[in-house]
Amino acid sequence: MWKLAGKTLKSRLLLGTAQYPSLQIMEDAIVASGTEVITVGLKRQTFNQGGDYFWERIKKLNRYILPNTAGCHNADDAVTTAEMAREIFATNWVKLEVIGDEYNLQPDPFELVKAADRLVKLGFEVFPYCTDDLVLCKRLIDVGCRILMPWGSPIGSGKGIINPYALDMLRARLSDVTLIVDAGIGKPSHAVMAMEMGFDGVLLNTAVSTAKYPIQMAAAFQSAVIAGRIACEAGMMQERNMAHPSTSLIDTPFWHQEKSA
Amino acid sequence: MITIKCNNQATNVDAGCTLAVFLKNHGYEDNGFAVAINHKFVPSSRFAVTKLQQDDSVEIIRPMQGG
Repeated sequence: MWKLAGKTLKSRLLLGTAQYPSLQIMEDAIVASGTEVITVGLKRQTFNQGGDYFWERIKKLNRYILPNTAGCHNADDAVTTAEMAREIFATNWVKLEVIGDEYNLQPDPFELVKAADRLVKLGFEVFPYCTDDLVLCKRLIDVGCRILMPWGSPIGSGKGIINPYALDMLRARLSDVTLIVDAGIGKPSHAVMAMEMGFDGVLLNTAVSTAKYPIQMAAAFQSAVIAGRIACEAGMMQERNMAHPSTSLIDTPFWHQEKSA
Repeated sequence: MITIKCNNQATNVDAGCTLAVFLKNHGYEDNGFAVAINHKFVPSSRFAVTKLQQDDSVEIIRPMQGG
């Protein structure tokens, strides 16, 4: 069990709801993943468009909702979107996305901090999607963020953790903050890596929704996050530069001790 | 009559029309949506007292799938 923004959770896997082949597969994948937190977005509702079928189905899953501010490029729009999300979803949680580049969907660090500052003051629990820049993360903490979500690699890229040294540094320097790797996770082994590094959780979407069999993949990620966490808590062996035989060679057949030089 | 934009589509409404009336006339009667006017959030508690103005840009949004 662990605590996330005041809630006690079993699962350290957070899952998105986008890009599934169907709503039924999305629901089944959410169940198979064991996740207790799912992300959702917001979109324009045009006149006479069909109702909120997606939202009705999501509500029945009884998960914690983490609305995102996807599509926002400045602090003003992100704050407005978060306020609208709070009204609809009745939660003060917000996954804060303020995008600075359309190609790699990298966060705009300056607008991100501005938006986080305003949202914390408005009573939100901010989950900022950020880069792995240590100083940016410290600024987000300074304005009141208790949770940080640094990227592993660009959203939807599936490249995994492309800068493990930076994430290692974040974990080492920011030991009192909840750290969740968000974005770029493509395989369960990436999630294992993040958890082995001591991160508190992993958030992913595309790796499950665009898998050949999303429901099985969701189950695979559930196991991966659990395995990585247990490994981290079990204390992994240190890497060595030289071989150390795991079988003692003393008195094995034909063994002889090396003569000293 | 005044012209406003709703979700980036131009539309004409009666001068002095409140947001509540506008929403009702366009079928928004449940509570699964939220509204911003000119990039500012308008809480549902203020729909009845918010009057639409010429060139207002109204955004009405609902939940959708997201990552």
